[in-house]
Amino acid sequence: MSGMILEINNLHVEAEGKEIIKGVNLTVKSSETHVLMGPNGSGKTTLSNAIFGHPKYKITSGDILVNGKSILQMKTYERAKLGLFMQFQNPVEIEGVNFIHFLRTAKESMEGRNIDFKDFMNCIKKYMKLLNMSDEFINRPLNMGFSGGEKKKSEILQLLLLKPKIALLDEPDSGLDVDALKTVAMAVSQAVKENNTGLLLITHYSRIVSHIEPDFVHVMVGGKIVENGGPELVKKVEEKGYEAFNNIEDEQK
Amino acid sequence: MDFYSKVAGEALQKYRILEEESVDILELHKRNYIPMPGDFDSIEEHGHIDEHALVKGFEENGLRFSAIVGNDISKESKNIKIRKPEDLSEKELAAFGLENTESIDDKYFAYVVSKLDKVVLVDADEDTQESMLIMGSKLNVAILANAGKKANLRISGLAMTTSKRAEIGIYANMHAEEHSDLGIDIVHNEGAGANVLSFSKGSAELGANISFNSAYFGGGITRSRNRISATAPTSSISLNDVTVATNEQKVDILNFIANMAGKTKSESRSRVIAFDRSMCIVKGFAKIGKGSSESSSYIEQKGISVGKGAQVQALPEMAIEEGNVKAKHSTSVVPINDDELFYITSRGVPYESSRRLLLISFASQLINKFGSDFAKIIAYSILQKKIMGETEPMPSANIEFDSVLKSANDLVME
Repeated sequence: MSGMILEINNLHVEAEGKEIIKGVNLTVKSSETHVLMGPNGSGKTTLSNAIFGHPKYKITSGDILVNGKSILQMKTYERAKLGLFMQFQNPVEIEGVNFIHFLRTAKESMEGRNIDFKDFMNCIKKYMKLLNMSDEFINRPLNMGFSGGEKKKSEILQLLLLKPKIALLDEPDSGLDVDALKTVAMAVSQAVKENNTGLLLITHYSRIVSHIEPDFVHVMVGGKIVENGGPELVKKVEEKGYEAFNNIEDEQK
Repeated sequence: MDFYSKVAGEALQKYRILEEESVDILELHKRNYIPMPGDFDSIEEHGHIDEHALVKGFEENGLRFSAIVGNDISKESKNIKIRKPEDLSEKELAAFGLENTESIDDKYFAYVVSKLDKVVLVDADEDTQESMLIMGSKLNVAILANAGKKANLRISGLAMTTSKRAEIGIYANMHAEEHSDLGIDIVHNEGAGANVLSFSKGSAELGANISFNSAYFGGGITRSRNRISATAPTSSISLNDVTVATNEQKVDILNFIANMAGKTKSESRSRVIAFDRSMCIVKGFAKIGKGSSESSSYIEQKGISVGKGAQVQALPEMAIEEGNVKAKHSTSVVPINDDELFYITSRGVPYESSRRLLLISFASQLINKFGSDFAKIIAYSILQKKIMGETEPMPSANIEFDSVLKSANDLVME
């Protein structure tokens, strides 16, 4: 599988007339693991949505490039077909859309061909086992009635199934107990290893980083990335909290 | 067939009380309705369906109906007898409220029962499944169904008219005797010029269940009036209807469910997808009558309007005359949800396919409640076709047979 380079250049994003992302620069390559940390409201989820072209978010300046080409004019599904994946923090519950039917539709659409149902189910069951998901998910509507942990697992199952080149994981650790966190982290690691997937892992907390070691860590405050570094940055966040980075933001202003 | 006399007793009396009492309560609904065009009987020219060719086409593609009711064809089965209305006795007519059409205050209902072409009698005392094709260019049919004690009677019907000027009236009268299960599923695939009149009445006796499920595809103007009553303790009733309206189509549905005894359960669910400049009014009225303690009633009305010109009105109403009951209604009319679309497209599914997936799934939820696989498969197949070709003019009364069979295979597989 050929690699991918995702470049975010001086990105500014508005939602409902308010600027949320205020000039973000970031480059993620396949097989790299980036962790983006920041307090609530710092713009992490907005960044993820903007990369995927959510209609509620307006890019006012800057660019998003994949392998050197701007994707701003591309539709959401076209961005996905390039090999980008977004794990939703709170995936929407869709009544009536069967979970497995949806997964099959997505897989067939991504691969541009019909997939043998038996092969598909064998593959799904393998991933469900890896994620400790019960078979009852097979007949459930998409995300309906899923607990917080089940929703995270459902999203990671899609990561495993769709084999993206770069995945944006928006708080895959929130709401998980210790065991579930370990399971999810293990599944993410497997996806990365099998497919050389690059990760942009968004989180508040350091605990998932003990399971998935990052190559790069970025701290985002007030719509900007205020510090870049390696795993040592996680320790700094742990010890000093995000307050310590507010000063950096002020200095940048 | 002496079973008609069974119906003429207490159950029918309760019907009449229900109708008389409901006049004032339904005032709101009377103010929100779509008028039908003029006097149907004055329409001189109707389109034409080659019924024999249609049946042959179905059969060549593996779809066989146990009974056929058309202008030209009448095919009976073991449990379905087809008669002319003039062949019914006064006692039989009275049993189904057909004896004096002048007294019926709904003029459209009065029209259908006064102009009946065929009367379909269904009676079963055991597990019975029947599939029925109802077709014609000007056809009024009464389906009088009785499930005997502990019987399980399921009737599925496909109703079709020509794409040119047509008229189809169906009146289903259901009676479920003690501890029986009676269900009728009717899928309408009507031509664009058709006036569709659908009426149903039903009463469930001790411990019995009645379900009446409809899918409305096509038609120029559709008017549906359903009144089902859980008349005896521990009985349950349910009405489910799915509507896909396109172009200038107009649909007016009123579901009236009533709990008339203790420990009864009633449900009415409607799903509407309105495209183009179509207009749909869906009214749900629930009554929990005196003496119906420990009963439950539920009305659900959900609509999706697709396109700026489409209109959906959902009007729920409940009258509760007894304490210690559960009553609930849920109503929503919305455009397609942007967040849902974003989620599906984020997985690489193109926008149009995502939109169709959402619409088909929305309507399929109620189709899945239909009692017979036969009706489910046909309804699902037509639904897919309508959603896929939503911008096309309403097609004539035809089904892509291959699609029906493929859908059947898909359903079995999944």
